[in-house]
Amino acid sequence: MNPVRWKTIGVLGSAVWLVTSALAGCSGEEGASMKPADSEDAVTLTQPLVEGEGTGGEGEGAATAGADLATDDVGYLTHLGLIRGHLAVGYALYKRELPLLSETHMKHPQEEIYASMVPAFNARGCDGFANDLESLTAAVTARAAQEEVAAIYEGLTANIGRCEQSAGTDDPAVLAKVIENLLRTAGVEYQIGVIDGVIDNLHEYQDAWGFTQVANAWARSAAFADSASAAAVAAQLQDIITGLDGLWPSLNPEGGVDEDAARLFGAAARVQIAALPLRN
Amino acid sequence: MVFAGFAASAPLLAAEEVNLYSARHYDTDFALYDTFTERTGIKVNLIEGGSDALIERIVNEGEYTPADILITVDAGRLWRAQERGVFQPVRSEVLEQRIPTHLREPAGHWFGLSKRARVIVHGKDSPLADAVARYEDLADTELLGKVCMRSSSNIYNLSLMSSLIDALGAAAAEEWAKGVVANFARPPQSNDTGNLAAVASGECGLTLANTYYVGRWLASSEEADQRMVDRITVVFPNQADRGTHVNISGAGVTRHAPNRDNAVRFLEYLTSDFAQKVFAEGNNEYPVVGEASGPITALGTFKEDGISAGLLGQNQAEAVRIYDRAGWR
Repeated sequence: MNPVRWKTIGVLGSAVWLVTSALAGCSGEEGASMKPADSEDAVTLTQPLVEGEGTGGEGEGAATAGADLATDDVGYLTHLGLIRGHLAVGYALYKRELPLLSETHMKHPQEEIYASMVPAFNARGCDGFANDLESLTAAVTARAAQEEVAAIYEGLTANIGRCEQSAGTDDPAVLAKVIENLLRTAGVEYQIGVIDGVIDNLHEYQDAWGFTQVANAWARSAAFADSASAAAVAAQLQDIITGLDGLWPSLNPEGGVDEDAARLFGAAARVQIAALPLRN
Repeated sequence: MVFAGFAASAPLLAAEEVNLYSARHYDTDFALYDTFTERTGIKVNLIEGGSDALIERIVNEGEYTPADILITVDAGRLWRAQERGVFQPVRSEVLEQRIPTHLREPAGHWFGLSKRARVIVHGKDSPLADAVARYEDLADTELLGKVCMRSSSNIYNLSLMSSLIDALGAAAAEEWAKGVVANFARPPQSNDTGNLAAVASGECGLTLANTYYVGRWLASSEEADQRMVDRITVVFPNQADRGTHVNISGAGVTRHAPNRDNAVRFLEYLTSDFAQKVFAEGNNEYPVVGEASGPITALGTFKEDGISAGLLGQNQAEAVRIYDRAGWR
């Protein structure tokens, strides 16, 4: 289905909220949780205190295929969400001292997604973050210290947040659609990654986790607090995503995973239905 | 709207809701949904999309789908959905009594809810008027250079071919297709509306189109549309024998419907006199229950081909092959 175009409303600033990620620093970790309270890998959505106008691959592009990212806020935020997702899983793997696995994820945004977004960055007055992507990739490739990688990662995600400001990050309807797109894309990735309980493509399996992490973060955005109805929708979205626990018993599992991408596709559909009131 | 919380593997349970995945996109349908909610207290959640995309979604969502009902157009698509395991069988006295046997799947996997005929359309006062009374006549050599059609891959043409395979046999149906191709005024292109416009302008001698496209012009207040209607004549083929090919919009309850009882109740509601009138008129179609109403009645009544709608899907693969061999792109 084609993404819906949403008109954004003006933003006169947004609160900074930061979910700090403790560095796990160990391998053989517990399952990769979606529960924010105990997740060491919660994605950071950094929205600086700025006055903005805000207004509005692969299978990863399917959700927003044909979208004009310069004007389509949902498509734009979805693409940035995919970038965040790749980086999130890359960072999580690096924290788990799995640098080789981390590298491929860190390289992905620049190699596969970033270039297609530059026209949109220009149109939206965002400086982009190419240098940050290169720095992070270089640090991971060089096996830099965890602290150094963490600092670069946090700076990069802050810059991604600045680029997100030009879209409807204060519009719950936009965010709900982004969440839906990310979950559906995660489903596609998981479907490639896990076949009949066997990890057939570890990278895609991990990507699915990354995209779901970003969806999880957006579901907890302050934008949903603007009204009781939006807050109620957010509560449902959080429940839906939390219910996906178990799909990733580990980011680097030994053996198979007895799970089904259908859970992600079903979750995306339930998000779409839960968010219907936001369209009115 | 409140959803009950659920664990990862539990279905979505909400006694007050029914989730529709619909390939119909008519504003008039909202009145249907609102009235259903008023009468039953069951909220209708609507997800719209293209038929094939919705089928793919339901398959991918598997047992975790929130979809209770798939509504789609064309018996061929309903059949495809059934083949993909989208539907579950439903036994309902209401549905079985209200909907004619040939317009529903025998085991209750899907039910026709409105009808459209695929008719021959030629220019008004055209010298071709006497030459075309049956689909078979479209292959006659006297129509050389007069026929305009849309692509054979379009589901409406596939379903028509499926009916011809049943009526004539595969070999004769293929000969027919070759004959029609030989009569093309131009390569297959555009859609039903585009080809109708080409007939109205005189660019083409005749075409095939679904009745609701003519119905839209009849219903339109635009002068341009009324001029189009004034320039064409609709022929209901095969009135002297098997009747005109009719296809359906229809729906079925999904295999993993979380609100199954609500879904069956909704389908039964769609066969009510009120819903049938709105559902059919919304797209200038014919109801499966009762008499037609609205602008489409200007086309008159007709004898319809009583072929089982299920066959329209079953013969689809053969239809594709026949068109391909006949050169109808």
